[in-house]
Amino acid sequence: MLLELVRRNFRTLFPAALLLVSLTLLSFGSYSRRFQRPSFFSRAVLTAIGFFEDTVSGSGRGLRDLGRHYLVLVGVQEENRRLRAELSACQRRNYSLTEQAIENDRLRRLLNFRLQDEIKDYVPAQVIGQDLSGINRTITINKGSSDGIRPRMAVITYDSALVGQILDEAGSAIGAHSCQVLLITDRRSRVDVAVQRPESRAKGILAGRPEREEVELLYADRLSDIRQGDLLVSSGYGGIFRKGWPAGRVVEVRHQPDLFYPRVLVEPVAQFSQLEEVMVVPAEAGY
Amino acid sequence: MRAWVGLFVAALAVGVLQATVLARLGGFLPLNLLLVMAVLVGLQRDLVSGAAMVFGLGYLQDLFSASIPGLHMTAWLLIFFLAQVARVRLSPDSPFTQFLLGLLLCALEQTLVVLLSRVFAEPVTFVSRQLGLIGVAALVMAALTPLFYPLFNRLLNPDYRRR
Repeated sequence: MLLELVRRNFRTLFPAALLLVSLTLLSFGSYSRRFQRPSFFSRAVLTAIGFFEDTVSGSGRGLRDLGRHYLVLVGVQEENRRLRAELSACQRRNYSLTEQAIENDRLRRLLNFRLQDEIKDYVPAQVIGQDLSGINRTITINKGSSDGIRPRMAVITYDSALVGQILDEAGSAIGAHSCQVLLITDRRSRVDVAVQRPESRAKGILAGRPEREEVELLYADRLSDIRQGDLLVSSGYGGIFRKGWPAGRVVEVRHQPDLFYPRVLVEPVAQFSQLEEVMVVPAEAGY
Repeated sequence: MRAWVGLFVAALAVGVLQATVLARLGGFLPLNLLLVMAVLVGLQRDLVSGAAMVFGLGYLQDLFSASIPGLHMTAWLLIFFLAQVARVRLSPDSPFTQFLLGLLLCALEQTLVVLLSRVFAEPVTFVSRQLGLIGVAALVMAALTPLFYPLFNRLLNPDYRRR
């Protein structure tokens, strides 16, 4: 009887059932953390997609490198001269900074401070894809679980600028040879940061604002000293991002009477549109 | 069967192209070729097989766009149902009708995704610049609809030429 009813109304029931399934997935995905974990099937599809993305990105990189290395040589001599001058200036600065580092090290030892870890245990990765939905901000990199990528890993540029984090949930799934990185500009991203300037050291939570390609500093103390141009660095709380990594520069500070904290707009240090290579860094021991 | 395999391969190729080449060339314009495919399925396939195809396309889009599972599946199924209704009232035989339906459905999809995100995920806010970009993207995607229409007609209806 029921089977006959289903058979007779199959054309209506089947699409309705699909809509019901997708709505159920959506509801569970948004309210239950257990359902936010990517399924085995999702990981397999992500791995397959990652392979193709890597191939296409690799070909694109090859063509771009060919253009850069062999075809566009106009102005190279001038650029070379400028770079040599810059290198000399950097070397002079490097000598001075090395001296200061040695002195700093000695003074830290005297004060019994723990030296900040040098990043040695990182996994280098290449960006092979990015999301274009206009709502989320994620990238895909060519390293996955088989390369040692695990949940709660930080992703930074080679000059330590914060890029994002790998969480292994909806929006940041890990495949076998590729994974998705939740950028700090995504609206779901939260990073604990502090103002680097020693006189301020104000703290707050950095939250993504994808609609403006910016991030916003939330919950900073209303009386805290935050100024335009201040550099925000990761505070080390939470264990994903180590202490002292640059996150962004303050572009605007606004005090609004209806808010307990100032509205602080921040421009990320990492240039997301030009991102090609990144470093994946595991969480600090103890977290 | 050929239509299913063809659609799967095309969807995979379009998704990869979108995440790699288009992401570099298009820059900030949120062009979504998988959505154009879903609209074309809605205009060309029957209710049962089309719904299953759009369900699969929505799943792929959720994976590619790192959204919460089910967001694009739901939005695209609703768009598909609307396309089924619209094609009865407005026959999509001329390029102008295809463009018009493409524009309507693409713009509606953006609205639906924002609404569903507001209900089921974190609230999404748009500034006027971004709304303008979405409008331009909807126009470009609508312009692609009549261009891809004959191609998809062959892909989704392989027996079409034999008849």
